[in-house]
Parts: sequence; C-alpha cells; structure tokens
Amino acid sequence: MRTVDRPERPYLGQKELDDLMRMNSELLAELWILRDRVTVLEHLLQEKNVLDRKQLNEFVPQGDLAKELERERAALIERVAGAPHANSYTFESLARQGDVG
Amino acid sequence: MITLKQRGRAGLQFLGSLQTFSSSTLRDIAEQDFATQPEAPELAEEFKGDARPHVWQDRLRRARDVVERSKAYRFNRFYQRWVGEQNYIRAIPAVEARRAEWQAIAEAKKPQDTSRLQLNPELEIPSWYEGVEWHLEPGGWDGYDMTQPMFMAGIGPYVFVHGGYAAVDVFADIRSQRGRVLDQLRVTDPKRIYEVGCGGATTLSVARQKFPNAELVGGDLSPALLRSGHFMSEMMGLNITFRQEDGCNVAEQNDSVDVVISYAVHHEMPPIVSEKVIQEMFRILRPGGEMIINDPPPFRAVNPLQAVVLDWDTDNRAEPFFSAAASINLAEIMRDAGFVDVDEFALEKRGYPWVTRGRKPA
Repeated sequence: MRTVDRPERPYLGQKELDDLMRMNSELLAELWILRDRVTVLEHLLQEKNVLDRKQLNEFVPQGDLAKELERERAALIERVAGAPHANSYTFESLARQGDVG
Repeated sequence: MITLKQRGRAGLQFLGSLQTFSSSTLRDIAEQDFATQPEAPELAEEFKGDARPHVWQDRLRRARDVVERSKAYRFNRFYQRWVGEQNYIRAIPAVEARRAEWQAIAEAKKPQDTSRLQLNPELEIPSWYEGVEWHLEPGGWDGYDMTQPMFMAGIGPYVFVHGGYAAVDVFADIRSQRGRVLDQLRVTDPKRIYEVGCGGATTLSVARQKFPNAELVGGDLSPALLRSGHFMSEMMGLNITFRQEDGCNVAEQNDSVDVVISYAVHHEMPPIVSEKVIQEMFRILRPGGEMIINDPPPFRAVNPLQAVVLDWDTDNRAEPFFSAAASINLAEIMRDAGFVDVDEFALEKRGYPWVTRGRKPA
C-alpha cells in the first residue's frame, strides 16, 4: 500500500479547498478523456463511411430524442448544481434520477 | 515500444496540457504579480551573491511570503503537485494494461551480450539514497518493474515532452538540452568518457552521437535504471558499459578518462556527497581532462520567484536535497578539488541548463 504524503500546508490556503480542486481536476481529466474518445469515435466512424461529421454538427434533435436530451440535461444540472442544496430527498426525486440512467 | 490505450493516452496528454498551462499562463501572471509587490526590488538585490544555507532559507521564506500573495502562483503550485502525483497514478494502470505486450518485446529484444552490464548486489547503498521516492515515483527508481515503458511510452512523450517542471522551463526540449550541454566541452576528441549517476542511457546516447568512437561508461546506484540503459544501448548498438557503483568510489583507474559528465544528478545528493563525487571524478580524469556538470541553477543565479519555485521541489516533489544543492557553489567545490579553468553559466532563460565545467591541470 502506497500513500502519498502531502505537505501539511495546503496549496490554496485551506485543506478543503485543495480537496475540492483535486475533485475538480479529476473531473476535468475525465471530461477530456471522454471528449478525446468521442472525437476518435467520430473520426473512425467517418473513415468507415458510417457517419458524416458535418451532418453531426448540423443535426437538430427532434421528437423523442429531443425530450430525452432535455430530461438528461435537467437531471445533470440538478445533480451537480443542486448538490450543495440537496439536504433532503423524496422517493419521487430519486426515481426521477433513475429514469434517465 | 508499446502504445497505450485511449484512456491512458488521453489522461496523460491532459496532464501534459495542464502542466503547460500552469507553467506558462499561470506562471506568467505570477511573475507579473510579483513584479508589482513593493518588496520585489529589494528581494531581487538580496538574491544576488553566495550565502550560507541558513541565510538562503531566511531569504526564501521572506520571498515565499511575497510570492504566495499571487493567486495564480498558488494555483500554479497546486497543479504542479497534482500533475506530479497523477503522472504515476495514471501511467501505472496505463502500462499495466500492456504488460503482456511489453514483456514480449523485452523478451524478444533481450540483450545477448550482458558483459556491458555490471551489477553489484553487494554494493552498500548509501543511507541518504535509500527509501526516497524521487519525483513522487512509487518505490523510487527501483520500485516498479515497468518503469521503463512507463516513461518511454507514457510520461515521457505525453507529459515531460512539454517541459514546465522543476528547473526545466516550459516548452524546453530536454533531449536537445543534453546535446547543447555536451557542446560546451572544451575537450574535443575524448577517447574515454565516464558519466557519474548516468541513470539510463539518455545522456550517454547523446554522447555517442557526438563522439562515435569514444569508449563510454556509465555508473549509477540504481540497478533498474542501469538495466534500462543497457537494454536501450544494446538495442540501438550504442556500445556503452553500465556499472553499478557509488559515485564516491568508482572502479575507474587514476588518470583514466578524458571527460566526466554529470547530468542532473548533484541535486539528488547531499552537498557533502557532491564534494566527494567531484573529488573522485578529479582522481579518474587524465591530466588535461574535463568534467562538465549540468544541474538546476543555484539560488544566487535566478530571480527570487524562480528560487522559490526551485526550493518548492524539496518538500513537494520528493527532492530531499534540491534546496541544499541550490545553496552551494559547485564551481568553488571544483576549484577546491584541484580543477582549473572553472566557469559556470546558464544556457537558457530561468537558469537551466546550468553548466559548471573545469579541467584537471595538464
């Protein structure tokens, strides 16, 4: 088991701020890895003539797909932006999260 | 060489980009912030000239208090540390995913001639060296059997390639720096070259390009780094001998080598050991031979902000002797050991590479 001994003094003035920045940096890394993967995926699909990247940019979701994206977007915002204020929950709110998987 | 999977590659590339941002954009803002502080001119004046280590610590403490007023500097340091840790946290799983492929390559390319790798299991490892996890690397130089592919296929091409860590300036090309340092040698046609603390074959491979006919020997304490150097050297036909030994007591005869190279190694040993190593290198040099050292610059050669940055590595990037080494004067130590024609100078901005060179009297 290896542990990384961190200096006693926090870099950003407060240990909790360092911890939050570690989470933020980790998320930024995950975001980039995902964006890199999507770009590679688009490139490979275009190479195999499965996808036209220009068409992807011009595509406007309609109908059920548009609704699905809207639900997922709202749930993501609620989870992230609402996290500091989520002091309680209901069965319904949890069920709504499960709905968008 | 192995190729990392997408997750490992993209994650390490992210670290390289984040470190570049930190050591360029944030560093520039931090320098502007520092320049506007009322204490800046006085500190800049104080940082010129030699001082004893405890005086440096006092100067650095006062400079750090001023430098840390900059938000950009605080974030810059946070990112430097985070990337320093993440290099291994991300690279180890990435190379583990390719362990079988690497083992197949290592087996297929296994050096046939082992005479040029001379390990000494009986060698007494100095106490100052043992147990240090240099640069936050788990287990230190000898702690991980996949260190070679971890650097060659991961951290090297995706993170270190951009510079921007320790004394290495952002966007600096650490490979061409080695060549430029060796260009400073005044001995033009060395027959035998010894590198103390050679690690792998990084500097000696550059020496081979510059001196195709010279006999090359490297000494180091780390068997893992020596094995790695030997592997690369045999694969590339560089004909380099690697020997596990303590730089204070090497196997070379008196007056036997024309050039001694010491590349980025003195900051990884206590000053008292630096002195002994320089004395030992003087012993093995032929009269007229030359020793060339590249290391991070001393505090006296850089501005207060850069000095604070160098000092930071000691406690934050597992470099226990970094500050002690930056407090001493290698040129003076060389003169005390008997070297002549000693001089010292920086090759690039922010003081690195910092070259100190001297000759043994003919």
